[in-house]
Amino acid sequence: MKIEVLFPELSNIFGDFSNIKLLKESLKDAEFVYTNNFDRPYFLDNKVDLVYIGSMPESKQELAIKRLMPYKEEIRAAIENDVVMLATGNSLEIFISHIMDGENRIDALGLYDLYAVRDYVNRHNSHFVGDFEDIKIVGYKSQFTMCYGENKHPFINVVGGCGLNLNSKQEGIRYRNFFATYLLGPFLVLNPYFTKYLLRTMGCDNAIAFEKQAIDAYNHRLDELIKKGRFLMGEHG
Amino acid sequence: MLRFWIALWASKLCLFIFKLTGHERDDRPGMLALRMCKDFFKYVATPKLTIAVTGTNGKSTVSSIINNVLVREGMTTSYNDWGANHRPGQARCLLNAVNIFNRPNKDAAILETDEMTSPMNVPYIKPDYMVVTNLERDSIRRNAHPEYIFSCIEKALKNSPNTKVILNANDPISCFLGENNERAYFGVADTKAEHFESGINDFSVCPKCYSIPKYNFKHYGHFGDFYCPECGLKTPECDYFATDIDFENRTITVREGENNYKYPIVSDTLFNAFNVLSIIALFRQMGISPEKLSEHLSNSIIPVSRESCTEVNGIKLYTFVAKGQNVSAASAVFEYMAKEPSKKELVLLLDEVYSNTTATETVTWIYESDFEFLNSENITKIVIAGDRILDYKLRLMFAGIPEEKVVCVKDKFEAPDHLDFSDVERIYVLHDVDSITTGRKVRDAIGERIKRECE
Repeated sequence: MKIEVLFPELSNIFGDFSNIKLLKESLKDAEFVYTNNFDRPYFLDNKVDLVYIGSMPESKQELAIKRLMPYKEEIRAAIENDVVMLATGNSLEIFISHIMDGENRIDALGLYDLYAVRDYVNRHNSHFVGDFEDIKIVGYKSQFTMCYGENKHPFINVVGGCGLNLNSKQEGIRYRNFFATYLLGPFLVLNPYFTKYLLRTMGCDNAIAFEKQAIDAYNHRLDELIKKGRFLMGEHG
Repeated sequence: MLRFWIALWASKLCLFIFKLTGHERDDRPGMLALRMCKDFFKYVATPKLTIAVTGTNGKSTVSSIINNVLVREGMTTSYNDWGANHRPGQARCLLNAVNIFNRPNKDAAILETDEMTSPMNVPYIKPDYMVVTNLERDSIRRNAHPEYIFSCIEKALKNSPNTKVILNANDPISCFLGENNERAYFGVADTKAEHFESGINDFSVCPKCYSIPKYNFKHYGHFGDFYCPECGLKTPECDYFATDIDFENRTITVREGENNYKYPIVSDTLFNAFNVLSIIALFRQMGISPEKLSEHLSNSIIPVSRESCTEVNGIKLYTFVAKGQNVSAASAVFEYMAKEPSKKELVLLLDEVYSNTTATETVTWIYESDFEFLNSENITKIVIAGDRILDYKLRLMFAGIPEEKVVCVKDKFEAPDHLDFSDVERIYVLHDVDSITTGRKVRDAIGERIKRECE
């Protein structure tokens, strides 16, 4: 099993890296390849079982787009060839059409026909519950952007919280084995059932590390969120 | 302008009533001033000396000691000692520093300044000095990431060009603030202390060329003597350089030009040594002699809201702020817990408790913070209490902490029942800034239990 972590030096915020820690604990024999922003992505020339990229500050997100732009068509081809990829937090925006920052348009890879609008004054914070197939997904959003456009490939249907934007009932992008979500931080840790699904997609039936404790915490959170039914938060809750 | 005068008089009256009724430590008069006049900061007069203190961690400690030194210098000051560092708090502080004719009636104002909102008030207040303690990871919901907060403070300073900035040279983020301001730097030499590699890395790429930066040595977190091997970016030269920190005797030796001066420090933690150093840099810039400053510092203490200690039957009981949601503050405290050698038990009260209890749900910060540091032989037991115990338990297991060392209880006041006093030198109650009272109550309950067991 081989897992590539794209640009770990750029995307090391919000606890997203705990997703890799969980995979490391769960897949003791797996090899992890860390590709930094000066290097060509490993998965373009080699077989990997998962490519992961996490949240990043906005300037580093723009750098990541710049670094990946020359490989845009190869990345598109890899997704068409069913390479398993997971993007969490604002790394989703790397793969869409563009990002508007005031009057400034930042072209992204353009693999999906969506665009994001940054608003540094109103940071959005919310809890989330959604449906992916028969799995309930839980998580958090904390972002400066909202995403717009016709989402032809939604990942999760919103049960509570915010979709790609405040009026959207769809969250994230799922196309073939490409999964991208604005949900950030310990996404896999918080969602043990989805993690098992992802591992199966990667061709692995392993139990996940600390599975019992993770499921206990997941059930408690899901129960709490559904009971409270309050999802939007201010900066202090 | 008429609006300002009405706002000033109304909020002064409000402040007077609050003082009369024993509610002095309240920023509502400032809130009223801003509600009535949104340009309040533009018109309110400032004392002849105004000092702003900002940064992710250490603001309250540094502001409090600065105030103490100024008072000991014989100055009258206006200062919010309860950590009100947002706009209403600052308006309240300045309101207290003027009379009803908007003429300063205090010698100095010390403004603890929230980093994010600093562009909205610093350009109007135009402080004489701004101390920036550091920039680290803070609450994701409010502060996003240090790069964003850097841009906020930079914007504030750009519009206050005459403010002299006191910066931490060992912080590769905040040290680049105030490009167009006059700057003075403080820094610390290699303490040769064991460095714990943190999972947090906010200086993972060079801000100029995006290469991977290196360090000659690290203090903690991303603080240290850094350089970029590709473009040559490096730690700025220090005006106030701590060549030696003696934690046992609580002194710090600071090189200033050709001279070395010894000052007392207020705590045995490295992060507080940095805090004291920033204060030394400020007052030396203001021209206070090292001898006088040393005397003033020897009479300064860390605010009890941050740290307290009592002793019961030979066991030292501490309360210690380890801000929940604040990744860097929690990690620094965890590192200290491991490095401070005494055998200890910990009580973690880290849930962030606001009236809307869903706030305690955001657990991203616990996966950013270095709970791994708590996997240390001198920490014999960890009792976690609060709503998020299942999340903490999972996180502690991730950190490799043996399950038998961990106890989870929902009720905070049950925590003392699970401690074992037979072979322990210290017990620390680590609490959030919003649970200071709860932290103290739990500490006192632990003390009571020790007394009962010893009878």
